[in-house]
Amino acid sequence: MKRQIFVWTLLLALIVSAGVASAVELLDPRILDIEGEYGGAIGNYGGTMTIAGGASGPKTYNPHRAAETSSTDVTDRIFEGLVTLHRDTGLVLPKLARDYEISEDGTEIIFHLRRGVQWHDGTEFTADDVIFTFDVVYDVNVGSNSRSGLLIDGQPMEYEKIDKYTVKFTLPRPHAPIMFSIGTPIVPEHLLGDAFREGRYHEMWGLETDLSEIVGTGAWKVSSYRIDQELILVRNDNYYEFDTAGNRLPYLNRVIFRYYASTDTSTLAFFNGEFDYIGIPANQYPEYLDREPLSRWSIIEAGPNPGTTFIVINQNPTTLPEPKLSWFTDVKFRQAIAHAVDKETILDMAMNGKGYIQHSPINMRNAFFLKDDIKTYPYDLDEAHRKLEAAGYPLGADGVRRDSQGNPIEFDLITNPGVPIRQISGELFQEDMAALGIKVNFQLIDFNVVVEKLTSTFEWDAILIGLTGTFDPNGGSNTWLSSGNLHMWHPLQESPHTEWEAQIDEIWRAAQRAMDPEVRREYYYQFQDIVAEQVPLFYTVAAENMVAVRDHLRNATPDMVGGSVVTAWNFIWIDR
Amino acid sequence: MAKTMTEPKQNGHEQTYQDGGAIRSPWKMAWRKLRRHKLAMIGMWVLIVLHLFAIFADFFAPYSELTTDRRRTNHSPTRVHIISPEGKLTRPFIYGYKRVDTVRNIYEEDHTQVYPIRFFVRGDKYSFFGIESDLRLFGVDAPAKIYLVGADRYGRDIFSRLAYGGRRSLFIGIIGLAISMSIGLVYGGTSGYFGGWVDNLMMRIAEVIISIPGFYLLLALSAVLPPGLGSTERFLMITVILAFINWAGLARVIRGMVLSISQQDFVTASEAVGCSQPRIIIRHILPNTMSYVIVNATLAIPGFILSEAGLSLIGVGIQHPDASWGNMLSEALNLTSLTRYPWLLVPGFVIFITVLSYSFFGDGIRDALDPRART
Repeated sequence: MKRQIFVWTLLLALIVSAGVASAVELLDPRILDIEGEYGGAIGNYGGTMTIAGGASGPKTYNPHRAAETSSTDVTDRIFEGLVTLHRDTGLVLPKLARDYEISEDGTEIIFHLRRGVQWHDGTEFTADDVIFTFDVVYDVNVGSNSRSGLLIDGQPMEYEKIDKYTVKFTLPRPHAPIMFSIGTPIVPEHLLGDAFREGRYHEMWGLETDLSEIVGTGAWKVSSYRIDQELILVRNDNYYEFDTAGNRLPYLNRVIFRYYASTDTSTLAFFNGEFDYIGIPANQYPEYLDREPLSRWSIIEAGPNPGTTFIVINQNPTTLPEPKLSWFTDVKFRQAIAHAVDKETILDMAMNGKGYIQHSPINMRNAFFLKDDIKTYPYDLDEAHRKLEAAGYPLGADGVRRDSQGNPIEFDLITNPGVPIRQISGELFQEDMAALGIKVNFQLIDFNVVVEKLTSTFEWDAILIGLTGTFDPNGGSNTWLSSGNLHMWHPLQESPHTEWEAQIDEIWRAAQRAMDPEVRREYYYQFQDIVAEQVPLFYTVAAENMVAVRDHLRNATPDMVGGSVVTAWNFIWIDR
Repeated sequence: MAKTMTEPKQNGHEQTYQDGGAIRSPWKMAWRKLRRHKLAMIGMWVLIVLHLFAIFADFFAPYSELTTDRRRTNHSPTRVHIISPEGKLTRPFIYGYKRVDTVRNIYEEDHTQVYPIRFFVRGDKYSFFGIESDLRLFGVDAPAKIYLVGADRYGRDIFSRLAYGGRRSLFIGIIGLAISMSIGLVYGGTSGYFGGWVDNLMMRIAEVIISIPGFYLLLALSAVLPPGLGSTERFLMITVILAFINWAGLARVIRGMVLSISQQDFVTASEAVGCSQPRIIIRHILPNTMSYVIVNATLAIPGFILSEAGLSLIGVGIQHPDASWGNMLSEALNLTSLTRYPWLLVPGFVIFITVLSYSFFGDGIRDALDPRART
């Protein structure tokens, strides 16, 4: 009797689960040509991949509350956008959308959604989720990181649901870069809708949330998290991507992030076999290089880091006192100083020579927009001295350089501790300035204080800092438009303060309107020439991105677009 | 006539210790005992050498602390040879070096270039108490460089920086101690002598200061130092901050000692003859705490040195490019430096030796000044 009940229950359970599974039928799978398109191999199922997650884990699971990479590293696996970028070429590919159409005048984009995609809880993904997500992103109270990239001249796009699987976006004017920001992570309306309407969206899906409630469409689900120690992601068994042989992706069963406070510790953990891949910090490269021949892993060089490191000097007339303001706003002064940045030595000391000298604000990976023949300022203290003399900053007999009013030239340079390249660049710059008779007070200050000075008090002379890079140049809008909040030397201007800033504003807007990439490139070339002439920032070097990957890991090629890490997890597999 | 003869006898203190005709003061006795303490003597001599090395850094160091060489980053220690290639004993010389691996920073001797070590050479200019000079104990001809213990990331000579850094790291202890001792003695003396509510109030204030976790207070105070401070001002500010943390503990012990001393008859006698209170405290009471103070001082200096090293190590003490042993050690704080450039750890070793020497020396002094341990 007991056995009979058990068998019946089992049967019933099977029927019910089959019913749920068939309720949403996947009509538009995404087929990845792993062999042709990505140069990989079709793989086997199973296994766990363990990776170094950095110093700390996520602060939230809510993709529109995540501001730091430690959080987005995880949320990017759980949530997906309508479109994504090709790992190697940076081209826009449909993701949750099956395909899309852009109208001739560039003001209308229609997305056809993939039919039958399931949220992790089995509910079907539809146009309502897309509409909801854009409501969330455009809500100022949510504070989504995607918001500024989705505004066009400060205006949101209009968006409407055509039917269950079609969404139409209407732009106030053509805006070429929109496709690079429209892939913002889609969140489920059926789970977060009520909270959003009650104004509680920003409280949702923090670290205290029960992990089974974190529901996305991605290939991975969070299964456990010990804060800042270990986070485990498990495979989504109903994912909509397949390889060309018809295998449902992803191949792996689990991915484990392990967090270590220092890169030294994670490096040693990697040498002990704890990780399957790890990003190599530039200054530890020799350690990896020495061990590589004896180990079952290989170093892969993945091109320049998309970020920038630079010295910026303040030109903000409201907070910078005279005479510093006169020096720093004098383009001849800036051009002369630019000759005193010893990029070669920075590269040698901070990165063991593994890196690239940087002259332009454009992401070095985006060769299409990068202009090669811009004006550069090679390291040459004699040239810097001559230019300073000619510009009216003579070196006195006492070894102190003064301006035409006789004020000795002296300023503070600050950066945050813990980043070798910043410390080295600052110390070399300080020494070179001293050789030119200029006193630079270089100091390491807590990162949050530096950011506060940069973005809210504006009381600083010079700052050595970096920005993360976006693939498309338009990602630099908040830096290069004079109204931008990261237009560091004089942010949030109501109208451009100088002629060259006005020029850049104009070029930048024209580039956004230009739908033809060749025409856009012309604008960004002009932009790079103006920046090279005006040198508001002194660029330094970009590290070579290097990853060490264990040999049994297949298809683990670093992301050429985004950065050093291996991002295309969905088709990584383990070869036993 | 007879009267004058008897007077010295009544002042019988000295007579008690008369031994074989020679009269010895307590200080001489202490010195005699200290000399028998081997470890203390070793400690003392090491400290004398280190302090002389630091004071005359300009002379002993072949380069100034700020002389960089960007093409010799993390240069390994230069080997000094005294046997010529022909196998004969010769005056010390070094070979030139070339960088054979720019990724791993490996330097190798180039046997075609020979540079004898020259003594009393003209090197980097310096000014020592107003004396302008460029005389240095030793050096080699350009373009070679002599790095006795290797070079740091900027190609600066670690040996030279140890000497210059010693000026800050060693003297921060002595100056800081002088400040905290003065405050502690006067404060503790006043508190102990007056007693009552004055004592109560003053000691509660001191206890508040003691109860603040020292290193966090240090961190907070040094973080607010403005960036424009010159290196000397910064050094002094850090010394003052360290002294500010340290005086209260000393004041409390002094107060306890003063409390018991002020009950003694000679204090009552001084009061009876009408001495002023500050005079009684400074001239009569405090000298009686001297042996404790001296012992405490020698044992407290290492604390200052370590605090400075700790602050500079985490980047809020002495700032680059000025050398201090702590900030020199901060360069060794990562895996690559530890495995590849172990000479960056030498400042740590020197700190260790210094602290150990002070402890040995302090131990010896304590034994020597302890009246109960007299033999």
